[in-house]
Amino acid sequence: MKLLKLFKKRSQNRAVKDYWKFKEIPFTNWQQCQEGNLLATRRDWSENDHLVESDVLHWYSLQDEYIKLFKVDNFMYRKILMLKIKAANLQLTYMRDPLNNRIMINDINQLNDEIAVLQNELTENSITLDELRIIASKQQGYHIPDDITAYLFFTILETLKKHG
Amino acid sequence: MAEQIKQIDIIDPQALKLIASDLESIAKQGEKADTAIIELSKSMKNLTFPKADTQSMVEMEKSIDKVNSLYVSKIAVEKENIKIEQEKERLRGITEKNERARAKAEEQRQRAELKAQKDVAGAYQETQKRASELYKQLRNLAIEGKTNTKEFKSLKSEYDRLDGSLKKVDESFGKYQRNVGNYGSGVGKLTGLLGKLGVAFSGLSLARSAGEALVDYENKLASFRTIVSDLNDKEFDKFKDKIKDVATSTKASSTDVAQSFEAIAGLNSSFAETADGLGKVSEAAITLSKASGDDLTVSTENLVSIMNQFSMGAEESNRAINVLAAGQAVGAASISQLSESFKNVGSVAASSNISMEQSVGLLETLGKFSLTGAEAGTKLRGVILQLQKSNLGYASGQFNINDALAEYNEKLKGAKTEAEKNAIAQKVFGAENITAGKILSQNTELIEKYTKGVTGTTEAQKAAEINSNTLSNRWKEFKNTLTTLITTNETFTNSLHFLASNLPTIVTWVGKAVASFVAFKTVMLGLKIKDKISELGGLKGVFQKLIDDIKNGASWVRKFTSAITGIGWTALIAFATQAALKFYDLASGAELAKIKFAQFKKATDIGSKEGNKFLEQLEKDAQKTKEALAKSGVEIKKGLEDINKDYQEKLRERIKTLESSQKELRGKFFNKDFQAQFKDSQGGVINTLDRMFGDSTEQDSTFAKGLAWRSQIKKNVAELDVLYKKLREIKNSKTDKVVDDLLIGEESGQRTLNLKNQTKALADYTKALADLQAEGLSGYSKEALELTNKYYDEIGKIEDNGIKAQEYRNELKLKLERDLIALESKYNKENEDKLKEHYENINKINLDFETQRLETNERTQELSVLQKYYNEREKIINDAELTDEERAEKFAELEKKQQENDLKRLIENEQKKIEVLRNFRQKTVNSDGTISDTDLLSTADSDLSADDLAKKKEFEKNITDYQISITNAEIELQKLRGTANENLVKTTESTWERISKSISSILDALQNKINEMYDKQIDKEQQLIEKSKGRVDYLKEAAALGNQQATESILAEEKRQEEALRKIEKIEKKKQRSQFITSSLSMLQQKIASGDKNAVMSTISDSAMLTAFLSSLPSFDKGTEFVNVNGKGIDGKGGQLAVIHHGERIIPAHENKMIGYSLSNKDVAERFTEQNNVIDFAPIVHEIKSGFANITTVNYDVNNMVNNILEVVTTTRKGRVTIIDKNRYKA
Repeated sequence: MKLLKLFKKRSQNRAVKDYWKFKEIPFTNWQQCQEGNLLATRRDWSENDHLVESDVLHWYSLQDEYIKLFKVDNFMYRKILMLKIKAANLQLTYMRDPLNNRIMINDINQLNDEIAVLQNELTENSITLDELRIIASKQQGYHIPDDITAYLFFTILETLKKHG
Repeated sequence: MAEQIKQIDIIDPQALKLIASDLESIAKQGEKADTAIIELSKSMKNLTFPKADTQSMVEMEKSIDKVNSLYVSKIAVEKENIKIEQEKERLRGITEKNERARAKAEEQRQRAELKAQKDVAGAYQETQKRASELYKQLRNLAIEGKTNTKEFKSLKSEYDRLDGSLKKVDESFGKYQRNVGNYGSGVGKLTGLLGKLGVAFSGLSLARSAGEALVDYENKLASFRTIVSDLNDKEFDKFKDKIKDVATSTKASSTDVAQSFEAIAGLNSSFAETADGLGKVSEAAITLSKASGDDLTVSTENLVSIMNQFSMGAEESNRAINVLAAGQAVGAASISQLSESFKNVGSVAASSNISMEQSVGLLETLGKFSLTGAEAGTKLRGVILQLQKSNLGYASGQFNINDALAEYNEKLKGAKTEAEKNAIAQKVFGAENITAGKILSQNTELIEKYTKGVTGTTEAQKAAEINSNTLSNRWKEFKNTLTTLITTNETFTNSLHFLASNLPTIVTWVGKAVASFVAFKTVMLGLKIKDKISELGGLKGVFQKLIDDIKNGASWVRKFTSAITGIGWTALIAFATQAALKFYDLASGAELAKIKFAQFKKATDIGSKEGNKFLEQLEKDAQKTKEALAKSGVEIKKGLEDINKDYQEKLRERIKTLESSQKELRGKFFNKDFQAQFKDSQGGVINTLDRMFGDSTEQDSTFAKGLAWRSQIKKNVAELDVLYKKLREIKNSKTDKVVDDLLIGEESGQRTLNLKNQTKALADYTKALADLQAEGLSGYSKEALELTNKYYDEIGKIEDNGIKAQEYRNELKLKLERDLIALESKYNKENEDKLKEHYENINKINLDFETQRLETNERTQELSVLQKYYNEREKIINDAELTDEERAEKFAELEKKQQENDLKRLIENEQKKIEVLRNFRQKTVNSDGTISDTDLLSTADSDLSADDLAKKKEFEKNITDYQISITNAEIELQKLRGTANENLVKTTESTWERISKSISSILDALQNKINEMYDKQIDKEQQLIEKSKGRVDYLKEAAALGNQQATESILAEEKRQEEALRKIEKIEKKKQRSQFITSSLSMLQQKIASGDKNAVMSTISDSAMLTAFLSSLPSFDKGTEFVNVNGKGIDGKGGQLAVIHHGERIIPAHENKMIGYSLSNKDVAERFTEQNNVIDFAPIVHEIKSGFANITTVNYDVNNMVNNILEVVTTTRKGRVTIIDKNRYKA
């Protein structure tokens, strides 16, 4: 079984060789990835349209690079994650205690409410990449084409941000 | 009337129980789920904030989701539990309500019954009253004589009715006799009966027993009073007081004492003269009763009768009982027996001057010889009377039994014979008393001893004390004390009377007080229990404490012991309290411990259940793996066995066939006849030919041909020899190996498989060769022989027929030659084809064999590794000392190891496969019949046939595939080991080395592609230029015709051309650069492949050198008319390196020669253009002109056109500049 798995993995690895690099990936592909189609990390997925682990890992690496380059530190997201971890730990403590300290449930519910509020804010304030492109186009004064690379696009955004 | 339906009638308690049990089971399930969740949550680690990379964040989100889902299920379970609890509470409420309703109904029923009974009683009394009134009236009327009046009759009938009903009631209570006016007793009985229903039975019985005791006492006192009837009450009170005193001092009951008083007074009235005397005797009697264990009445009678016989006063009562008791102590007869004896002998003894002590001594002496009781008394009486009759013992004047016995003994001494002695004895004691007399006379010393022993002792008190010192006796004493208390204490008697009359109320109030006290005590104890239990260390501690207390004699145990020995009431109560407390502690501790134990058990059960579950799961997994392994193992083993068997059989067959074919061959070749025949045939033919031609003097062409033919035959034979030699070689080399393999091959399927393939290949090979050989040999030689025979026949015929030999010879020779050549060519061709086919087969077999061997190897290894893995896993599972975490760690390690092994094995196998492919040698038959081995991979493509080339490419492709998979596996392995960084360099190098070959081809292909691409671009640009040129020509014409826009367009076109040229230049540069890069890369790759450690640096330096070299090359920007070269140059033809540019023209040497070296390039160009200008364009121009004359001139609005073609997306003005964004895809 192990061998079979390994073989499968190997064959899959062999199948997917060519991924977009961060500086090359087109904006549309980036958009697709964000919408959940991680096959868009590949340069070509016409032959093999099965999602493999390496696709996901590559997408993670792309995102990491994005964060590294543009120093995007989503404060809100970090805050939410921290709260979530806190809530999860509280839940664990509650569950481990056989005496059911029900006061803890109040704390957990309070945390969950906070998380919900923050998430709501996050979703309300966020805009789609298309919207972002249109806004950037407006600010730039010319149409930013679809086939722009994600890197270039984000660079433009960054520059716009810097210069108001 | 229908009864009202109540709740208790509807709800069946059984059904409630069922629901409760259902709820319990659901609750248990809930508990299970709860504990499972707890266990699961305990197994999870606390989350910490992750690293700032995406993967960690995503994983953290996943973990959070897991915890969340678990939490949600936990909350759901809890909600469910709460619901169940509520439901249970509700059910409990219903049950309690039901119980209450039931109890209430029962109470109501009882009350109703009671009421009915009371009603009956009330009615009875009323009826009774009415009846008595009626009776009085009737009696008055009867006295008045108005018996016949209407009033009397009606009253009479009413009275009769009432009387009848009263009679009925009486009958129901068992009272048949009733007098008018005596209804009270009947009603009293009734009310007593009714009262019993309402009063606690125990209280009643207590009261009754107390009452009984009182009544008994009073009865006994009354009968005593009758004996001392002359005493007034005041005097009698003294006796009563005495009774009380005696009872108190002796702990006998007052009733008994009163009885004994009565008995004593009855037997001896002198004792009854004073209370003290009576008291003393009574006391003595009681002591005697205690000492003898007889009834007090019996003891009293005995004592008083003895005292009467010996005329003892009341003061001597103690002496009497002490003598009796001492007698019992020193001798065999008991007090009762002595008393019995005294009944018969007492008065005689007293009158014969024998004291009580002496009498007891005598009786005890008789008792020693089993004469006791009444018989002893009678015999002693007889002995005393007989002695007195014989006038013995009167020496002192008074009868003395000791003297009498001594005298008798003296008298006996005078007798000489035994008969005389007997006669004397007979005479003295008489026939009846002779035994007793003999006993007494022979044991005078013993009598004295016994008499002394019973004089002046307090044995009675001692015996009484010993006999009294039992628990039952103490209990009896307690009861007696109580009775005495009740009977002799007036206050108590009065209070008892009060108690008897107010018992129900008292019982209720006392019960309430006791209940509240118990509740209080329980609460207090409950508060202390926890601390106590913890102090004592749980139930075990309590038990231990108890045992220790008993062992070490703790205070309460000592109290217990003292209570047993001393039986003080305080001690008893203290003991009871202490013991009760201890046992209460024990019980409550036990209860708590039970609960704790249950909790503990539950916890351990859950724990063990979870653990068991986990272990079971593990075991199941292990079992599954084991089974799967066993199954696969069995399958593989079976397969191998089958293969083994099958192939061994086949092998044997093969060997047999091989041997048989060898034998056959041997038979053919080593058969002497055949060899002789063969030699003969060869020799025959050759000799015949020699004979034919060798002897001939004519050296003609026929002879020469004959020689050639002979040499041909020789050659054929030699070839056959070669084949045969090969066969022998193969036979020698391979048969031994086959046999070896066969011997070892039984041990493993692998070996057998190997052997099978080898043998098969060998057998096929040998057989094919043998067949070929045999066929070729037999067919050829046979046919050759036939031909020769035919020839001989013909010759024979010729000679026989006398025809001229020479002509026929010529003809025949020619014919024979032709036939033989045909034959030879036929066989040769066949041989060649067959050999080719054969080798192809061998190649295939070899390859198949190797791959099969590898696969089997792989499978066997896999099996062994899996088995190892399983064994280790089992070891871990069976290791009881490991905790779950350690176990999990070990499993992880094992898993990792297993994965590593898998990868390693994979790599090994792939490498082996590559090796097989690399070592593979293609065997082919050449056109000249020889066999050659070809190493496909190392042979150049051009030297290979099309098929072989295809094969080689396939091989190369496979090798590359294997190498890639090896690389992947190695990367995986390094990841697994976590040493990716360390080994990456090495792996890269080795990988690089391995794939360098493919890289070179890839680089070549890449360069080709790039070149193609650039060429295409250049072509495009050139086409553009050409088109533009065409357009310029046309526009020039148009301009000449006066089109102003055309002039502008020309300029634009020219610009465009220039741009295109520039583009071409750029592309060329790019092309050069890419070529340079690819060549540098291939150089680098070659260097790495050749093992250059500083490949990169050396490549860079080489490239730099190359660039410098290139820049130093001569350039022909300005052109040259003649290139002069000395020496052979770089290609041996005087070739020289140079730099050329786009658009330059190079002319071969011979054409340059034609042009002539004196003519400069410029001259050539000018001359050519001049020559071109000579062409007459006039007619063409005219045609064009006429054509244009027919066309109306059109003015193009360029802006409009552009706007139509290109859509403007945005126009923005920034200062002076207008930025237009256009849709460039529209064009």
